[in-house]
Amino acid sequence: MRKNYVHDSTRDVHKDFFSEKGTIPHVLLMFAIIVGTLLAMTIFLPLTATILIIIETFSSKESVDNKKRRVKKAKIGSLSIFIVGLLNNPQDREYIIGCYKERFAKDSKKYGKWHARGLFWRDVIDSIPPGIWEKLIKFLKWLIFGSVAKYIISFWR
Amino acid sequence: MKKFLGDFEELTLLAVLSLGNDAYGVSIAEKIEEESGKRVSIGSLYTTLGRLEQKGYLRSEIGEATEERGGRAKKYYFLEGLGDKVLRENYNIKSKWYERLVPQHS
Repeated sequence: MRKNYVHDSTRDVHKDFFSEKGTIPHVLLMFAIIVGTLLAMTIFLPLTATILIIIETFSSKESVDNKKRRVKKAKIGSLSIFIVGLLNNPQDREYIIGCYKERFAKDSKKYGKWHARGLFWRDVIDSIPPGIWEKLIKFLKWLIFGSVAKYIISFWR
Repeated sequence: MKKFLGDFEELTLLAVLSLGNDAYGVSIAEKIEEESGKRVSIGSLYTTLGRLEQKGYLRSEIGEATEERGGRAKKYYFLEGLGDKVLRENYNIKSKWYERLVPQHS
């Protein structure tokens, strides 16, 4: 008995869009990567940094020399240095951390340790947006360049 | 073609120019703070300095490490000829414009 086949165009389009192997088309994948990166850069990273700052601020202990009853020099915590290093250009990381330390030492002499700590974190938070945006733009440029290059290569093949 | 400077870029170049041989991160930030009354974050300052260096307005040299910097070196910045030219052009454009506009307002 002969079967009557009816061509369903929408089904074909659907099949092409999400192929049988279950692969997602490149446009959707790129869109997901861009949205994911934007979310990570604008929400998750600053949120994590803020939580870590709060934890470090409240858990830090003043190092007191019991024999001389003298409070040692206030220093920036290693976690803070790690965050600062993470947010800035790797080429300038060494100098930036040095500058943060020098400024912190000057501020703590001028205003006291707690005020200096507040100023330090205000500095770090202030410097988040330009650093992140610069990295994000660089990443997007490479993403666009990569996808164009891939398209050209696939076209030639 | 004339190149324009952003406000913060202009302030940074002016600070480097006025500090002479002692222009590095902290001293530049302090100079801008002293002149403008606004606190500058080190991270954004270095982003601007990097951009100005890339444009060829500034050049940098690695300096000495000090104890209060935790043994980390300083990076000194110097104004290049192109930076000086752009700064002058910017000043000329703004000053001519202000000269024309300010008497009208007053």
